[in-house]
Amino acid sequence: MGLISSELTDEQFRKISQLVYRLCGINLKNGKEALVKSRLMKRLRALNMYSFDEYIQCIESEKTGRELSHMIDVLTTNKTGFFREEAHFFFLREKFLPFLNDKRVRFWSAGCSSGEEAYSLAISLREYLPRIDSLDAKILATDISIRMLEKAAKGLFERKTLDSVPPGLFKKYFSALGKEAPAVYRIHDAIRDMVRLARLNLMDAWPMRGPFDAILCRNVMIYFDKETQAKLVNRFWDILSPGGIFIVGHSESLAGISHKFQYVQPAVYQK
Amino acid sequence: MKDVAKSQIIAGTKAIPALPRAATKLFEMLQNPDADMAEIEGILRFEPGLTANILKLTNSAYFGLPNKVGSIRQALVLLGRERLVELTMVTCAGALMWKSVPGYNLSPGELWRHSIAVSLAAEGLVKVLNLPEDKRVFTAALLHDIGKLVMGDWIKGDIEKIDELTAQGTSFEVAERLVLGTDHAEIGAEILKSWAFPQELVMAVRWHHQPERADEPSTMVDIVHVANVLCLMIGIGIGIEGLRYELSSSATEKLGLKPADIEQVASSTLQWVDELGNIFV
Repeated sequence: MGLISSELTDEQFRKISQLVYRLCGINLKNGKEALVKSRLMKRLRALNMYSFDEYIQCIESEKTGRELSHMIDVLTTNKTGFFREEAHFFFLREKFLPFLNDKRVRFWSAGCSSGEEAYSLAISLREYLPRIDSLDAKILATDISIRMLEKAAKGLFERKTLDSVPPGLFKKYFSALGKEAPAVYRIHDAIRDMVRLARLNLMDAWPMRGPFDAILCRNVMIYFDKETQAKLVNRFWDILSPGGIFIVGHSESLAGISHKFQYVQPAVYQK
Repeated sequence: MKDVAKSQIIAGTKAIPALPRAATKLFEMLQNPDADMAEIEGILRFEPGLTANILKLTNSAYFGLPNKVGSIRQALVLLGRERLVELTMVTCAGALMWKSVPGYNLSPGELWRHSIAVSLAAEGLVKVLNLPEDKRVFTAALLHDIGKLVMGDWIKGDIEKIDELTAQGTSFEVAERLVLGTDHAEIGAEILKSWAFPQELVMAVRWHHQPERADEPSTMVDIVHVANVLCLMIGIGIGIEGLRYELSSSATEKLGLKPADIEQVASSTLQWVDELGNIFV
């Protein structure tokens, strides 16, 4: 291992964070050095590079922007999973979905990564909205990373990533891809068709009009500074329906941010 | 045999999801004019799904409010607490009743549409007859057929026997009773009792096909009965038995209902259901 000089100097960190901030408004300061280092090490290994200087040089000199987008990916992509954080899905299933009585239902998975959250929402809507077949129910799933969106669009998942799907739902909504790749499963079209994938940098203007019934933005805001978080949270507030639900990651909260939401339960808020 | 079925059917009412506590609490508030807004807000605070849908309905074209309503407090001020309770009940009932009901041949949404129509018709009747306002009538009408949710499966199992009886001219609820030992009205009353609704509502559901049998005369019972038959006449919610009920002459007499009144309420009910269709599908 010792082959790679794993030092990330203040100067190197400053360069990287400036780049990232300019590109996607993500503010990597105070205490994010370890996160940046550990995630970028993956890229160094993949490229057979031995120092961060070499890596930064590569990014600054390349014309295609290919490595830059790799870098953004590794820095902004989170561990995701089907039905991650059961408490949130329990809330939606028991306290929210059964009462939705409107023809038009819109959810937004903001920072959707490879789509597991959005597809879990689609399955929940199909299962727990009383009259899903006569509804116009859609999930918008956005991410900054095209690569992640492409992965999400395929709707293919390895068997082991599906362990968190309740067995009944797994049987109902996933099919094995065939003999060649028995460990890969495809999510059914009925679910896939409910999800609309789109690239969006949360810092940019939002092209959609809303309003949304619920927005999930989990473990995304950790990259932003308080001021950016506050701005974003208030934009979410604006685009939700009255009574709409806003869910953040379980380790996040809106404490210390000036906002108008009503607290419902840990990580769950209502407009 | 029949009695076994009845006790099993009554046991089956427990499988119906309970009405959220907030709904029954709010309903009690209808009888308590002193309840203040903060109390009502407080009740809904713990029901985010209910709250969201109430606000959606409040903002729907049906009410035509000029500005977006953003909070329960605003909704209370603009719609009044009675409307708010109605929207709460509609939301809760929708969560329960939006499904197909086998046995009665009701396709998904049909029981729901019928229930809404009967509540609107009941309100219309109260207005046209200049009766003293009792806002609880709406909820009684909304829930009058709730027993079908439980009875449906049993009917399905014994449909041939029931068909045979109705073919000979027996009314549907009597045939239900002859074959299964109970009927959807009785089971509905059991459900309302278990939700702790007041006796008068329980009676309105219990006797919605035979208002003359109510323990004591009740306008609510008569109104729900007439509203139900009226909606079946105009074709909303006709399942297997829809055309096999008749208006009770004692109910229409007591209410002083004239054919012209029925016509008027029927036509406005159709219009309301049409308008609401844009919201509820």
